[in-house]
Amino acid sequence: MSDELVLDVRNLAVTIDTPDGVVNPVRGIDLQVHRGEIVGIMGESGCGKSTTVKGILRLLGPNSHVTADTINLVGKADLAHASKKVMESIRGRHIGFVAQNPFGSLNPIYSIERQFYEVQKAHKTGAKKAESREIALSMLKGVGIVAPERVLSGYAHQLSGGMAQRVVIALATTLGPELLFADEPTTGLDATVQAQILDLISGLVRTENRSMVLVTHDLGVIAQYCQRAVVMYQGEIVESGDVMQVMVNPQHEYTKKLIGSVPKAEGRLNVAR
Amino acid sequence: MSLVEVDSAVKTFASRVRGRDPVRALRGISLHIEEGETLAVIGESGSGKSTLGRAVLRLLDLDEGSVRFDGTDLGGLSPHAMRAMRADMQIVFQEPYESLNPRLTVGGIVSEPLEIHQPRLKTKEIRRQVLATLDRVGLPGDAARRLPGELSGGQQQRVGIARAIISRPRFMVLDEPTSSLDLSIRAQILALLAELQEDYKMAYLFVSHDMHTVESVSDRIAVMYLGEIVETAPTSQLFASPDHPYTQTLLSARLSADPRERHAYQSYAGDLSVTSPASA
Amino acid sequence: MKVMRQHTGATVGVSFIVLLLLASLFAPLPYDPKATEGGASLQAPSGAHWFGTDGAGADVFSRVIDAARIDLSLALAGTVLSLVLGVVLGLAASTKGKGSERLVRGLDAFQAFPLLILALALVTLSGNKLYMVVVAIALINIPRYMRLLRSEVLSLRESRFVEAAMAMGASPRRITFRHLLPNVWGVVLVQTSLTIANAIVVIAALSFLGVGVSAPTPSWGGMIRAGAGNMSSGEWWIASFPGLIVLLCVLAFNQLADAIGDTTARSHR
Repeated sequence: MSDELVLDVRNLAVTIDTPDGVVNPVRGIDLQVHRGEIVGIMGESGCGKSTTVKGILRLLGPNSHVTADTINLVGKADLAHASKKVMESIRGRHIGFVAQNPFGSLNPIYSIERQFYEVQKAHKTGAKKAESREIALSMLKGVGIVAPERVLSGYAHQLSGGMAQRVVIALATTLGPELLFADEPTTGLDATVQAQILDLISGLVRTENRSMVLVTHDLGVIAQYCQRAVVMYQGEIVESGDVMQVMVNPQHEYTKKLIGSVPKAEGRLNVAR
Repeated sequence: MSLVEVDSAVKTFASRVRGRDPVRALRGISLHIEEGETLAVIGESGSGKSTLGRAVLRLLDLDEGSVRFDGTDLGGLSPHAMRAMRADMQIVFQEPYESLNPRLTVGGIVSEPLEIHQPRLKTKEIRRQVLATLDRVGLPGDAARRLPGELSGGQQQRVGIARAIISRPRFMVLDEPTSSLDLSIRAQILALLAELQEDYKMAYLFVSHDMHTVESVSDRIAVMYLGEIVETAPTSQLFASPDHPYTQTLLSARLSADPRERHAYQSYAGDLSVTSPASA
Repeated sequence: MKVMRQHTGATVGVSFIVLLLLASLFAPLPYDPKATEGGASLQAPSGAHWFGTDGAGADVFSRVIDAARIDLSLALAGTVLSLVLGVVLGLAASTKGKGSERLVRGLDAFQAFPLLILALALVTLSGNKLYMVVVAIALINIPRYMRLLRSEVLSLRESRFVEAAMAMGASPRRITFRHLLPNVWGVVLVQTSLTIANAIVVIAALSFLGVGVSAPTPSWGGMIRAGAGNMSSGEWWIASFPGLIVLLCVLAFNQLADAIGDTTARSHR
């Protein structure tokens, strides 16, 4: 990790128009990501952690508005004021996104090979089909898929959840974005698969000196894979800092309560008391 | 004699996709549960752990093998006798909302076991017991008039627990009872279940995929993998010196919430997801 | 009543039906619907005859209103019969036994018949008995109820709360009446509203073909049939007004079905 800033978000807020009035699911978010680090955003359901990420990436629905003093993707653009078109060219090329449900990210009627080619086409890289195939094969190998040819010619529904998430990660990193966002990337997967996927994705970040924002409700994921942690509660950041400090010596009452809720191996009778 | 004894249970399901091999959910499972103890069954998706929980309650019939409850072979009971037996054995589900009839009030849901098993009970007495049980699981009395959809996930699960305990069962299957709940709610529900077990001396079969949860609630742990129990051991022993390579893999996949504790994930040779595009 | 406030279409529709029924039962009609005035035949709509008069000189407005009594009662009777038998048979077809499978096979075979023609034959062979019209409506609609019930109940049987009921020792009877039926009630109501609309059309079709309600008793289908010949010579009102009423009734019940569907879907969440 260096001191070089990759992303600098200041005073981000999201408002959503609903039939019952305007709601503010996220307020006053400051978030800095440095080169080479993994920042974890943690919190319980409804705390606004996913909305924050989708707000930064401008992936929220038409009824929502994102405001911020700045969303500086350093050296590239200020996303707070970027046009739709600019956002589209940035997502995929400079920022990769891995969502919770891999099957929602994959197109069910295109072969996996075609989906890699679509990424190349969307960003006008000029890569031909054969070239895209070569890149895809090496990407799939890179995410630990042993028979990439078979996966390439297949479709999403033929994959297990873990395999599908590997494919999504390969797709998201095809163009070598320097910053990755992963929103609950392993929720719903088995523990053994989760460990493999997280080892893989954090390895990708480390070896290439990239950066990642990892959103999760799982404190274990934060503690084991992130260097810095941001704790969200009811739409605001209540605590942030080095993982060692936040997880071992939390300052805010909510963080303390959350960490205190982790089941302890003290035997079942102690749970009651 | 153990309270629950499962002997060589086998259950195979026809695959939903035509042409695929049938799913061998249980491949000769034997286990026993003593009065008042918690046996955890841990396994990943497709291990057959949920099928086992339902087979023990005879919510599905076994192809081979037997389940004995308090010495009675459940497979030999008539439907009528089996229904009467169910006052003593209950289940709490993973999905709190889906497990509650959306058209009934909480009071109607919780009173149902009493109406079934003690049909002579007076309405007033039923109401008294429902309110006492709601109170016991930490719900306010006015919850009885609410519909399940008006409650939070944690409250819904408390309703599910109230329904399960009102007939004072001696045995409960807890099928991932906290998996869909937030961490802080999860801790409360686990504490409640532990208290209830103390008070009512119930035995639990706790089905889970989460090592942290299992470690905190169980006396013994059975590890399931592809329809078989690969290892059974007292909790502390299983965590200290796991025997089977698959158990070791599961333990290494645990992510401690304490950043000072590190585990290096070690894969298991039989782990299908590592090497090939899995078919399932 | 919240339903009504949010669904203007359904409110207007229901008001229209109720008004029509009340008028046909109690309101003094301007003319005797069966009386004929030789001299006043084929008069265009006017202040004296709002919907004009037909070939026999009867007031079309009075006849259209009067026809609602018999047409709507037959439709309602047919729907109630369909509802009761359809729900019972549908429940029987949604158990896990061999018998239910056979019932479904039989249903498939039965629905392969052109049911309207079957209905036509039944009513004709019975010698135009009105109760046979009711039976015919039931024959057409019972299979629809059965299929609906079967698909709903089969998916409900897989639900966690039904599994929970089995786990607590509830009897099959208790599961049916306490857990299954209350949860299909919404879609059954929707289907019922659609069935009434369908029945109105079937009755009109039968009367149009000359079976069921026969002249001189006024019926919408019969009036359309009687006025059809006058269309080409420019006397449009004789067939058009009863046709319009049939259309409005069908619209009204479809609106009601939509409104019921919306509210039950919402209260499920």
